[in-house]
Amino acid sequence: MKTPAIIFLLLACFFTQFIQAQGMRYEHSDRDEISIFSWGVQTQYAPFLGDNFLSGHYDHRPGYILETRFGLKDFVGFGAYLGKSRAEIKEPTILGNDFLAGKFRDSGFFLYYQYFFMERFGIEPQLGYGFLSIKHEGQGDSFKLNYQNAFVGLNGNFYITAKRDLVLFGGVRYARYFTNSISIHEDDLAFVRTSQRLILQAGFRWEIFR
Amino acid sequence: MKSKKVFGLLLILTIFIYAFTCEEVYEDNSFITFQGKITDEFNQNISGLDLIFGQEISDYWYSRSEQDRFEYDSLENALSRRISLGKTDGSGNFKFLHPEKKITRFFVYTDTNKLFRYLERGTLVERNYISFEWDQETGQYAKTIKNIQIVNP
Repeated sequence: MKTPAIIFLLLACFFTQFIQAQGMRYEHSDRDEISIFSWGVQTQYAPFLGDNFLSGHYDHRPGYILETRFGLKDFVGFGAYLGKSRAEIKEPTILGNDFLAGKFRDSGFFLYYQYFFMERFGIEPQLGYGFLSIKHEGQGDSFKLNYQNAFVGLNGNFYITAKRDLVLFGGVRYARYFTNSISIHEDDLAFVRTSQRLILQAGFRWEIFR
Repeated sequence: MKSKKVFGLLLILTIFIYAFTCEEVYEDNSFITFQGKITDEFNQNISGLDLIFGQEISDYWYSRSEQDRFEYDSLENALSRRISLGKTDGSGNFKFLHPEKKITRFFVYTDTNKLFRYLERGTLVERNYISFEWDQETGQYAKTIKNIQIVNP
């Protein structure tokens, strides 16, 4: 749990710096608020990294994410997401040969801060917390694994329309996955309980302003 | 009156079949580890021995004899018969992991029909497989079997 806490503190400092900088630009910018509500759909490719169970035992396929957002104050907002993807099982030494594939279900929430370089383009750092459920289906039954994750991300936003209601965006998230709920032989605890993930994503978002 | 009884019987049967087929066999978020140590008759460690890890599954739980069940688990059917492979290490130890299941038996055996001798619940047994069974009294599997000897090296 130390790593997510350190990431959180670093990101808090990072956000503070951005908020101060944005406050200085605030009077000179045409845009003076973020949308009060938005929803988006995006495609994702999210491989796990390192030498661990989640990276070595699955062959991950691209998936999709549905996302909704609420502007909180100035340039800070709150978002929630639901992601789905699928992975073929390529290594049976831990999962046995009982399943062919796993269904990955990601959900979570995040805070974001929008920083505009120009009228139609900006970047957006994110900080969030999520949950992962992996469902393996067998013959009439299923086996589930549950993880949590803390992540940081950076999106690039491009406003397509003059009304600024349609956004094309792409970005990357880095997530640390962990769990205390999986029970396994102590020799394999570290291998199974922790992982890292790089989430590449791109999609569209529809925004509503006041 | 008779038709009501038949209908009631069919309803109970349907509910029973549905409940049976929907039973959760796996324990979510839980893996079980089966391990043991294999030696020869002179207690010398046997290293690098190719092992097959299989399980008894419902489609032939009732219909096949023990010998049929064992022969059915051929390496050519590794995926469809839910088999994985392993080896003993330099000290003769082996270890297999699997998602925890309530209703099953797990087996370790070889494709060269080795005969194993080991203690099972206080009784010395000789078989061409090593069996890890669910113990109704303790509510657990036998997870570790030490001192497994190969009788026909």
